Amino acid sequence: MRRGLRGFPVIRAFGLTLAALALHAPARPFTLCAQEPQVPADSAVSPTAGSGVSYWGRIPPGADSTTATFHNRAMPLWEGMIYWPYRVITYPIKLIGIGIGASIAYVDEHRILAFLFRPPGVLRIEPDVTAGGLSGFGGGLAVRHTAFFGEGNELKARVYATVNGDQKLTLGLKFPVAAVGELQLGAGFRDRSNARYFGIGPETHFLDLSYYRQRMWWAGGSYAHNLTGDLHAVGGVIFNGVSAGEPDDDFHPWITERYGDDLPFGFGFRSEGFTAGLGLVHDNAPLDGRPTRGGVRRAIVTYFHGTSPDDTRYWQYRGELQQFIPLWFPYHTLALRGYLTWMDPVGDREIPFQRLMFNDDPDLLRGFNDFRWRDRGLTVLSAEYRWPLWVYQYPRGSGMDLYFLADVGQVFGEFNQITTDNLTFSYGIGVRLLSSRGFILRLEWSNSNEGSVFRLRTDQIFQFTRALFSGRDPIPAR
Amino acid sequence: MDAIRFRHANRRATAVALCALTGLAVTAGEPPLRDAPVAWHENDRADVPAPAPRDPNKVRSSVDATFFRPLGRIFHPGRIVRGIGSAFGGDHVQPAANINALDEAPSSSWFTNRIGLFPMTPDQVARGPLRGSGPDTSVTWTVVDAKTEGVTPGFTIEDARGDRYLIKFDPPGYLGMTVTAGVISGRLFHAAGYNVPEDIVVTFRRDRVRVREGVEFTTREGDERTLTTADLDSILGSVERLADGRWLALASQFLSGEWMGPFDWQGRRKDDPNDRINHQDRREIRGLRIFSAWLCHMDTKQGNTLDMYVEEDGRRFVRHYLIDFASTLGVGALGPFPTGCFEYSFDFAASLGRAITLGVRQDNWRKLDRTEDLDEVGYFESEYFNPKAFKPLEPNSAFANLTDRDGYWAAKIISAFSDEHLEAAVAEGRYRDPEAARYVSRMLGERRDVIARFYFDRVPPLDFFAFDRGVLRFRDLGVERNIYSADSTRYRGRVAAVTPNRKRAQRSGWMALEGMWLDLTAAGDTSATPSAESHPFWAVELQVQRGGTWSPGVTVYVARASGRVIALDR
Repeated sequence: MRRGLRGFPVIRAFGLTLAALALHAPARPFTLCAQEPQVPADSAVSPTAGSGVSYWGRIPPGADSTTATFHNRAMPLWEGMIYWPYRVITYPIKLIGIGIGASIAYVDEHRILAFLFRPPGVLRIEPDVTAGGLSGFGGGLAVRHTAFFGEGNELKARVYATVNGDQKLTLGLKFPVAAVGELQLGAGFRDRSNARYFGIGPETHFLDLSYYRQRMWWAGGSYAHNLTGDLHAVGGVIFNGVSAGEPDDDFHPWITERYGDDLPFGFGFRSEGFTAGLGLVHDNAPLDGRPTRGGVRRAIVTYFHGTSPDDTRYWQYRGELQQFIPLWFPYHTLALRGYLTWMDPVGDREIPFQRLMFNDDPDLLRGFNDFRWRDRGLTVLSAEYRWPLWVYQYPRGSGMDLYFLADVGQVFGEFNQITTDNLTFSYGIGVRLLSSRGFILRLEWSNSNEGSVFRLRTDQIFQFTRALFSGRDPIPAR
Repeated sequence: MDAIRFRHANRRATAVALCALTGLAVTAGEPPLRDAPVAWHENDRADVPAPAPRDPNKVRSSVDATFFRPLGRIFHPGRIVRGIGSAFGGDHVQPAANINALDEAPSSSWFTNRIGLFPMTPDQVARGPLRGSGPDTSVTWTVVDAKTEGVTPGFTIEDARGDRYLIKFDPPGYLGMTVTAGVISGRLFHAAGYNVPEDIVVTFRRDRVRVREGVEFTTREGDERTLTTADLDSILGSVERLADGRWLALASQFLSGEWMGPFDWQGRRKDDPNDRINHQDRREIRGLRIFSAWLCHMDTKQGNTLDMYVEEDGRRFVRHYLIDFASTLGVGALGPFPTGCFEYSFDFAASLGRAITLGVRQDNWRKLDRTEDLDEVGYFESEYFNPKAFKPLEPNSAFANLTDRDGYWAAKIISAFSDEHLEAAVAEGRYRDPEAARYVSRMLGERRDVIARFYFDRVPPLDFFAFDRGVLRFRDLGVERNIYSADSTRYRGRVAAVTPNRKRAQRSGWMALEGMWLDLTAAGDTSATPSAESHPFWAVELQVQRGGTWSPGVTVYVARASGRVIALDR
């Protein structure tokens, strides 16, 4: 078909002239060659056997005169002149492709991927990866046993480390109780060698950066009891400690260098004690990774009773609301999360700075690095507009969602410090990777007036995993 | 100054080179005309030794098809130049290599011309490849193998005649959905011309099946052990049954011959001397894209093809089959499949589109409404159907080479299916709900018409030329197959005598035709016409108008000496 040429006589003439002048061999469409031994003659002339009276007239069964040997068309000279140099130049890329292909085949044929993602038996290995933010690049593994001393019980051991000196080791156990409750036991240790301190309050400046080392450990238990439908009562007691000391040599300025004689209360010692908490949780959001309705509502009260010489005691209150609102098309969702948390010391006691609220998973102000803001209170409103980017075959199956994000929030020492002047704003864009079983990881870039932050995380700030079993940091209570 | 002049000169040279390449790309060389019979059979069934069986790794094949091969096509310099040239009327690839002078695909070990060239009865379409009536149900079937992997389990039986069948079931919750789709699509692919296995819908009770002792099988975990009655009960227990307790299944007869593994959509089997043409350049393989679009045959991975080394009339050669049509008619392995046929499993273009439009544009597949009261029917509709936009689960090298001529060839065959043919094929699926059968038949018909209109708009469907006693007759498939109205259709033609190299002498002016015929004795034989010795062929260019502008031309060549129609240019 050359219909386009008919409307462009000049171009047509130009093309045809070039064609006539060019030194190229005409393509060889096919060869109707001298006949080799031919197709066996069908004994029956049948429309379903390719012979008989056709719309073109009679088509005989295979015979010398109507049988041809076809070959690939020859590549025209002009095409050969550009194709073969390209082929030679890109041959190393082709070799790399072959190598990748062979590796994929090896991994598949030795069932390595199948073992990692669906190992036989009750043992599960879950990779954990993190990148960006203060932690930097790192990763680890979580090993799960899904029938630990009985059907329904679970054990989870998790370890990870990052290049910036964030190390964590946790162990969790989960036991169903009479079909209406769940008992969790857990313990863990976390060492962050590049924790940061900018001062306390909503008016600190990012140039006041300093580093310290924060170590925490904990052990305890919690119980969740289903009251009715999606409403649960939760309670628990955790013995925990957190220390603040000098950081690694890699991180400067040290907190002692910048703040000298004005070091915050809590630096240089270990604050230990019991945290007891009670709360109500109403959770009717689907866990498929793409919730478009429902939400999570939490109201938690905790009390910390120090056992170390600092004798710290305080109450902490937290109210949180998450809501998923369906938008115009399926799986297009507005996710909203707002919360306020407040620490109220008992009497005139001071709270060590390492126990104060600060922005960290899952209470992020995403345009800011962790530890940027610190005080007794924290309030944040987060919003994400999510829409499907890619679906693997089925709408509810594996896939990827894209989202715009915006966070507005601040820390505060008194409620009257919650003002528009103190509010921070950050925005960004992210991608959520999902499997048919739910959320896998998020990759997001966010920006604020203090710069940009990139994060790759296997947890999320909406529907975040809480509880001891998952190894969530218990200090401060979130 | 010199440097600037040099740069300009370089740009001019580049522009000229690009124009030259583009010009060359759109002017494909044509073979010289010969007054000889047209080739209707391909010589690819010669007696050859058995090639080595292929068993490519499935994951690697998918990665190749999804990532590496599309990249190869994007950066292929020939395709780039031809792509630019396509703006001036060329194609992005060379024409198919196995077409005869009338632009048809001759019958071969890949394809047998059936309904496209021969009138077929609905019964013939319904019968399809069946030689018998499926597995012998008069005696107990013996299970000789089991399939535990995949979404739906199945097993292999041997009947009283010793014939082996693969017994496959529907996914849980969708009784009848994939079984019916598999059989219906198999019948239609066969009538179109492809080689397919003998598939049939069967029902059976538990007491008609027993396990043969000592049968080894591979478990889902990859362990090998002996198949037991408990395993069979486990398989049957995991699939749904009819209300009367019988199981409904698709029985697919094992193909005769020696298993050679799947064929690749790209390249050829180099150790098979009969396999001379790269598969992506075969007309019927390129055109399969349109048949697949029609039937929403989404799972066209190479694992759903099969080569068998067969013996026929004392010759041994490789015959090429399409197998497993369970994922057709809007149904996937897990049941109704809305994204199927609209997007690849990994579809970068679609994802990029969604990213750029910030989610404010709705995908067509999300607009589909499945007719919920038709339990046996998947997402099979005609409103959002666009044959050119069809995408299987994996990109396909042969489908990527489809040209408008290849598409027209497929559309011509598809438009040959009448409503009665479709109803007969659908009846073979044995829908339990007659309304489901009516719906699927109607959708097949509507999708057929969408395809026909799409390609008949691009390539004038003037076809099946015949020359008799000086009159050239032709058929307008667009009118004949009810795509266009005869009332608003006009034809015109012009004639020239041409040399074997298509060099023409003086050409007549356009002549309005009174019908679908042109009298060459009146139109061509004038005193100015050169002799038949120097210009032995008539070249008749025909155009059609359906209310708007005249279509592109179709040129048919007739040997002046023999009166034979010997070639066609579209």
